Amino acid sequence: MEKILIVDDSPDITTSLSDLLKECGYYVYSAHCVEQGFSLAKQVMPDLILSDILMPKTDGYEFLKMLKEEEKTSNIPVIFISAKAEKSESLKSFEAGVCDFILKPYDAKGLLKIISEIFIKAPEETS
Amino acid sequence: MPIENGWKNSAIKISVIYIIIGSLWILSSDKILYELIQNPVLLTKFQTFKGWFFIFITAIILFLLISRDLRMLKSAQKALSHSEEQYKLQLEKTVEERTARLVQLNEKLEEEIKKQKLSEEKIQSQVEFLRTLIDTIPKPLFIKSKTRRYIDCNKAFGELFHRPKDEVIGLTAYDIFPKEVAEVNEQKDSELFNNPGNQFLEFHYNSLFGTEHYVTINKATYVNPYGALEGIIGIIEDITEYRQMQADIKIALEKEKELNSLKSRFISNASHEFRTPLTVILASADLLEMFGKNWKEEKFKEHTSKIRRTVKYMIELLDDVLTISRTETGKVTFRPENINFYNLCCEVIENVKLRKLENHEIFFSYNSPEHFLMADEKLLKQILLNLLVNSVKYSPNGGQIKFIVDINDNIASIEIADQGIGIPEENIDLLFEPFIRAENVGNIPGTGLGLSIVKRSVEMHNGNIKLKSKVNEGTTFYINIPTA
Repeated sequence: MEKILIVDDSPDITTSLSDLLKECGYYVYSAHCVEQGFSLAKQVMPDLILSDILMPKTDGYEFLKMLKEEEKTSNIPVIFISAKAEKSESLKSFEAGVCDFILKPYDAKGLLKIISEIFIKAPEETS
Repeated sequence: MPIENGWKNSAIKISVIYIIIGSLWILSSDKILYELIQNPVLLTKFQTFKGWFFIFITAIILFLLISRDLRMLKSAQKALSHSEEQYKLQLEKTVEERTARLVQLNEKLEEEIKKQKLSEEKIQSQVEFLRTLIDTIPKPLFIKSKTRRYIDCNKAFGELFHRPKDEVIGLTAYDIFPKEVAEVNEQKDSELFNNPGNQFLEFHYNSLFGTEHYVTINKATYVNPYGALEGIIGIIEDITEYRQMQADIKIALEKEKELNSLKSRFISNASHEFRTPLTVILASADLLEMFGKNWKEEKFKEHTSKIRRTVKYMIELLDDVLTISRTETGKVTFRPENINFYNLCCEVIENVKLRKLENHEIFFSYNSPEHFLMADEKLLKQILLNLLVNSVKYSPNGGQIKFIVDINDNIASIEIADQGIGIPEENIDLLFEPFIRAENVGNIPGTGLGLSIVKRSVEMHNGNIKLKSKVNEGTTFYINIPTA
């Protein structure tokens, strides 16, 4: 099964997300800050990363840049899951190179659909 | 004259002819008589007769001549008297005509004079009207000569420069404006004279009486009836009030803009802060719906209690947002009253203790005999409760919480210190802004609004708040509030 890494500073969100994804059979890793998330990403090489944008110290954009700059992780698809509702934010995210932008609060079925579509679209990238 | 001349010539002629004929007669008649008559007696008789004959003839000629001349004279006299009469008549007629013309002329002249007088009166009244108009124009008006001296102005002009208007006449710009303004004005005047037309100037200056003025001057050159440049006419407008209003509006606008950007930032942040707990609630609801049937009771309860806890947090968040919004829209009014501050402190401490205290100890020290002060009880309670609850919340390992009150020189100094996680230095500046939390808060729940509310409440008391902090050692808040 695919490995998914969740990065969000709110522990309530990471547990909710990991409960959902685990129930669907994914291997789930979670981190509460970008630094932790980046080292975990390099370590476990997930097939998908779900990341928040607004986090203390380092934000999601910086995280995405770090991932793209690191050869190992540069091809891992990233989805932003953010509470930033401004239209400009999703545009900025796509420009930065995310696969998708999901606004909080997300709908579980919708989220699962997006994730499965990503895995169908790019099977060769998912080891 | 020809009559007189003729008469004169004829008299000489007749006299000459008479002398010649007489002489010839005397000489020749005697000779003839001597030849013809030799008888001496007869000769003497003939000679006597000849003498009488000569006298007789001469008398007839004389008579004829004199009567002719008299007749001529008479007719001349007659003609003369006739022409005199004619002349008299003519003269009378002429005089009559002349007099009539004169009377007519006189009447005409009188009429003209009347007309002239009337038009003069009209002109005079028009001049007066013009004067009244100029004086009544509510804007300062002036007329300057080519020598750049004021040659006329109206009342408003005099009032603007605190001088009777008659005193202004003959002055220059240097007499009524500060030097730097007068210099520019003079230069602009000469520019206008060199290039006749209109000119618009604006000045900001402190008058010779010390008042601040913003004025505009609208100038135009004028010409005399022969088209020669005569001077400048200008209207001054004192726009000081308008400028001040403009400045006030600008400040208000800036403030409004700032407030608006603050508000929109606040709304954007609030939206973000609400979405996060909503995500947790929705996620748990989805999980329960999708997988709840297969879950053990423990796992099931974990999510229902998560929903409850998050809803509770959302209510707290909502309350804080409402409090902030109330202070921002001015709905929270500052109502100071004489309150027992000591009792208030004790009440707040009890309230904090009722919440979950773990291994915390509150050390309370009230160092003043004065228990009463003027403050808004509700706001003051909010300040103390927020800070004390924070001290407990951000000291997860417990420790002592110091709560020290001093009242000196009408200022209440409040110090609240904990031994908690502290605040990183780089977060301190923005910590009092809404939704800003220190980056080291970890899992400790909070809306990021508490300190904002505290700061606003302190400011409403005309007080100030400061903090000192060191990560992992603790944080101390210092508040000063005037007590009167």
